[in-house]
Amino acid sequence: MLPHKKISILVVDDELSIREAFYDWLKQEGYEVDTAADGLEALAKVKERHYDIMLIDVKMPNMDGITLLKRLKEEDPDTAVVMMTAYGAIQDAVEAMKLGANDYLLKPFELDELSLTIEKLVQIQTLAMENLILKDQMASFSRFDNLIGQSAPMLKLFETIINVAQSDATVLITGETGTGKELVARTIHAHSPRRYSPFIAINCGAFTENLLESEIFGHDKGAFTDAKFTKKGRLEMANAGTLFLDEVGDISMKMQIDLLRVLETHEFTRVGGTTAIRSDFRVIAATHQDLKESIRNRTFRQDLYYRLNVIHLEVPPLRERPEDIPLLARHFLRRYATETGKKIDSLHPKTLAEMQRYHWPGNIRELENAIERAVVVGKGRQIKPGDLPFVLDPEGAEEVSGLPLKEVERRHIARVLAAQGGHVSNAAKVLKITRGTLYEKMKKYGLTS
Amino acid sequence: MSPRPFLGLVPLGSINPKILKELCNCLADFLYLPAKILPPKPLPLHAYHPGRNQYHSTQLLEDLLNQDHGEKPFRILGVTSVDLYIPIFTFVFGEAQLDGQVAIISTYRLSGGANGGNPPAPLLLSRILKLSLHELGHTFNIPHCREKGCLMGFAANLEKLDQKHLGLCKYCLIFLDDYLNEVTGL
Repeated sequence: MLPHKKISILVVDDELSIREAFYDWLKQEGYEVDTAADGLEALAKVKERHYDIMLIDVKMPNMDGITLLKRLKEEDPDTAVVMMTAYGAIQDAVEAMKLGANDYLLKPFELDELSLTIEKLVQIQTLAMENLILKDQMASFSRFDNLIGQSAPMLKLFETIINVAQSDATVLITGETGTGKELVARTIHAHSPRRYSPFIAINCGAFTENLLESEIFGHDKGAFTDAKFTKKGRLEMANAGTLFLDEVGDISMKMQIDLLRVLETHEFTRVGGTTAIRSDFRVIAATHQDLKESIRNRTFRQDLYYRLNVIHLEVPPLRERPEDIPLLARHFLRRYATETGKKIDSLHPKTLAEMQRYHWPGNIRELENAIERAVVVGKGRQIKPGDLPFVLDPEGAEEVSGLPLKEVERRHIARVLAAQGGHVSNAAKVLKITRGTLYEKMKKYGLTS
Repeated sequence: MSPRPFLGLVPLGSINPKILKELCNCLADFLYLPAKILPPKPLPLHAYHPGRNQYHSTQLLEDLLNQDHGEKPFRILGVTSVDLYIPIFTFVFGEAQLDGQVAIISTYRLSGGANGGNPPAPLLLSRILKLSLHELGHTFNIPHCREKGCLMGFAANLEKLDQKHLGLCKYCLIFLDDYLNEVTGL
């Protein structure tokens, strides 16, 4: 069963007591339940959203169950249908099955009869949903797994990946936050001779120095107070595979020296250990920082930089490839519409136009969040400009050009903070300033996180 | 000081008093809640379906909720020996309001009422206790559970009911604990 998605069931019956009984029982079974009193109401609901299963009474006023079934198969053929009747007319059953109903039951049901029927349909629908997501992933296989793009910078990147993947050379991937650097690293690994061995990732910015050391090198039992067991580090786990060092620009100078030694010798000891361990891994590193500037500021070692920067890949920010935005937006729209069961299948041309004008400080991650939100809040079958987060209401260049510099800076900081969900550290990374500097500016401009 | 929450058992129609007392004690032990047998209520005619020779359990639940029982129980469990139904099923063993105040169980099918049969007293009590705990579990907002043997699993027949353990799985136990802690402070 897919996580986060309950099976949704619509019960269509003109009798209130039946609808209520179904509602209570199906809720107890853990399903998402909705009801309709006749065929017309049911069709109106089906136009708004997808239901995984429908239980339809045959005999109803206004629109009988068989007519509803015919209309439903045009509107939403993926819904599984169980026809119900209190009258055992065999010709109705035959007609319903010919029209595509999955099952036909007589009311009242034996307890296990209904339970098993729905269970069977749940399994079918779950499988269908998983197939849809798999097909979606396959459809968006532009050239490399989940990397999507048809712009010149992306096509160039794909070509470079093909060449880079076959060698064992160290790769340094640079690019703004949210551009998909890890995805590029995984794609390189997936097309390399090491693809059947592990891809081990570590976010160097997420740990304190001591923890990072233990994560990378592992530790022996008793190496420090909480070291109750010997633990393998990521270097060992990556043996025969690929080691991905994300946010490599964040590691301390001491760690940089240790890392340099390992990259040169492929030998290391665990924290608190004495035995030399060898590990055969290929290194891919990534950073949003400008490492050359870090070298100038003496926060990054030049020798480590040259060791990492054997092959350099730059992932372009989204604003430099606006022609990829519709492709990406549709990809995320398909994903979230499937996950939520909502019937939203396109973006209004004005929405796409606005999205292509916006400068996306959070890049693809921000775009994905925007689409997810739009699917959740949107009504109707199209994403409209109003469904997008307020931050996407762009202040056009012509407005900014008449403003004092301080106001431009204030608005930009506010926008980036909003795009990062108020997360100050992430906003600082996007703005390429320290957290301390950002806090000062926030105080100066009266901004809150 | 607010009164301690308690579970109220309400006999609907005629019920074996020994079974009722035993059930009351077992429920109190299992749920760590005091339990009392409240004054019996007659079976209302408006809930009876002559064509089916059964009582509509949802209507009985509504009556239980609206009646004056003399005291205000935290939860009410109606116990009856007549056969129950809801419109979509041929019969039900019991019914409860999910995250509600009332539940009802019938001993009719548990004692082999429909097919004859006379289960031994310990088996009968075990069935009644399991069913009562299951329905009361729904009033604590626990839906049907798919863990094998869990008391909150849906049992379509006596065989499946007898296969259930007299206990909740670890997940439902957490749900129950959390719910009772939040609502009663116990």
